[in-house]
Amino acid sequence: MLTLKQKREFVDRGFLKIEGAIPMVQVEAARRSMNHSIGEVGLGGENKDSNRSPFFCAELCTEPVITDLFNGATVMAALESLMGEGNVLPVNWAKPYPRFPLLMGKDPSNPGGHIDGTGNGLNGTAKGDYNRGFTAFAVVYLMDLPTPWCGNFTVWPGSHRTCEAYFKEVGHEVLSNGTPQIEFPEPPVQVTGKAGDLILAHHAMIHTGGPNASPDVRLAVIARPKHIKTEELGKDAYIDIWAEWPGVHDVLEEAEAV
Amino acid sequence: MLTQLQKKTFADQGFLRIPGVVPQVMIEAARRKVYHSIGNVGMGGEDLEKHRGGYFCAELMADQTIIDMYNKTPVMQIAEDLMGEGKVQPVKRAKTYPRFPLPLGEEAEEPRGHIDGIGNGTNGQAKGKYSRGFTAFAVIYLQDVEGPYSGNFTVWPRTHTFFEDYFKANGGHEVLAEGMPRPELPEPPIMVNGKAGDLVIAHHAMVHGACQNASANVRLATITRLRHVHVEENGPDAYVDIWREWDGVREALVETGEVPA
Repeated sequence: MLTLKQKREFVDRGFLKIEGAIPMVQVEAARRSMNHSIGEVGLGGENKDSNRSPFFCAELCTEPVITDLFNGATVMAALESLMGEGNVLPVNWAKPYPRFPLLMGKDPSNPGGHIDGTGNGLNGTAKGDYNRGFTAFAVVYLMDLPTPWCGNFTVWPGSHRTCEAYFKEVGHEVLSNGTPQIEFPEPPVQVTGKAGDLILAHHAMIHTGGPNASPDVRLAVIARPKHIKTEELGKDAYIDIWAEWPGVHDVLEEAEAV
Repeated sequence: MLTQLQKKTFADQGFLRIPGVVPQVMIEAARRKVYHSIGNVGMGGEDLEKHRGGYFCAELMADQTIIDMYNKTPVMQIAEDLMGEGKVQPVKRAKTYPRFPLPLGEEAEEPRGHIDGIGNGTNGQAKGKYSRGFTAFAVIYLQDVEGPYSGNFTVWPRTHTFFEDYFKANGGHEVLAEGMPRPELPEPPIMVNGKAGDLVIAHHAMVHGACQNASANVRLATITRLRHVHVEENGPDAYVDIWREWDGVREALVETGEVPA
């Protein structure tokens, strides 16, 4: 499914955008469900025992209209190209994220990124804890995001490799202090795209939802697909970032040979 | 600004859509405030003493960005073309109505309309009461509304003249105290499509509504009720003299010989 060039890009940059991956009929069904939920259901999903604050569209996280965005042929084929055939668990939970505009007149500040799984007490993990429960981000845009500062999924290209090198040096236990404050090779990229585009990113990428200074609410769904051996490998993948990605091993060997 | 044909169309149909009245820069500023409010403020404005349920964007009712769409754009000139120069009060409040989609799989029902000002106990008016506190609807679409059943502002053409006759034939406007009359209407409803920045202006006596939204998007529109300077004085009498507050329309009809001078 993916070309060698796309795999090289993924290895090097840590993310990849695949245009038009999701059929519009599914995108529109998901958008309708999200918009209905925002207006008619509102915030939900709060769980103090699991350190989870309330969020929009909580009741949709396990609905087929959302999870099917990822379990269809295109997304799974792209993931298997990278992670190996039969190695990707079906997605049974994905989070629709509306990102509302900033107050009128307020300029957006530069985005600040994080690595997933470091706890802050409100995101499902207690402060001081960290875990690595997934292999890749899979983000589907449900609307066009033609320019930056629209709440775009934002990544720091190459940060997956920088983080791996850093963890090898100091140990991944440093994550109990939160996201490492180290220098990354490139400034952040606010990924633009159209409704139906898919963005895949490595779990060790520094990322965030960018500020939204547009007139519209940003609608996207984010899943965290898992390799079948994610639990087994656990935190070791922080210092062996391609362990769950046999589909790119040829690219890595090619790079070593050079 | 309006042509004679537009004025005659308004007189005949009871409404008019004028494309591109509000500049995109103002539309986008309003839309940003509205979406910010939906996500960060939520419902407000409930006032049980005034028979008012909670609604979205309550804190934006008198917001400058919202009311400037009326007072600082050609909306006012269009209103004066219809109602007469110097006859339209400045807009002080306007209600932004997000209309969210139905649940996935639920089909939209056929639209149902009403005349404004008839109380139901949650719309600012007690049940059994009615009032006629405005002259025209002025609806501004904040994003494109394409296709029917998308939460469109919906009108029943010619119902303004139809109900003038109905009230005259049925003992006066006092029949409104019994609620919305349900005679057969002259024409089926029109779910008005439009682009962000379009204005729909309609006569106060029009049967109207917002159809259900079976689209993927939130329908965002701001609605105000324009008032003639003599609206209080004229009161409910305007139900049976529907052009009393419409000098511009009356002049157009006189000019074309459709009504005597």
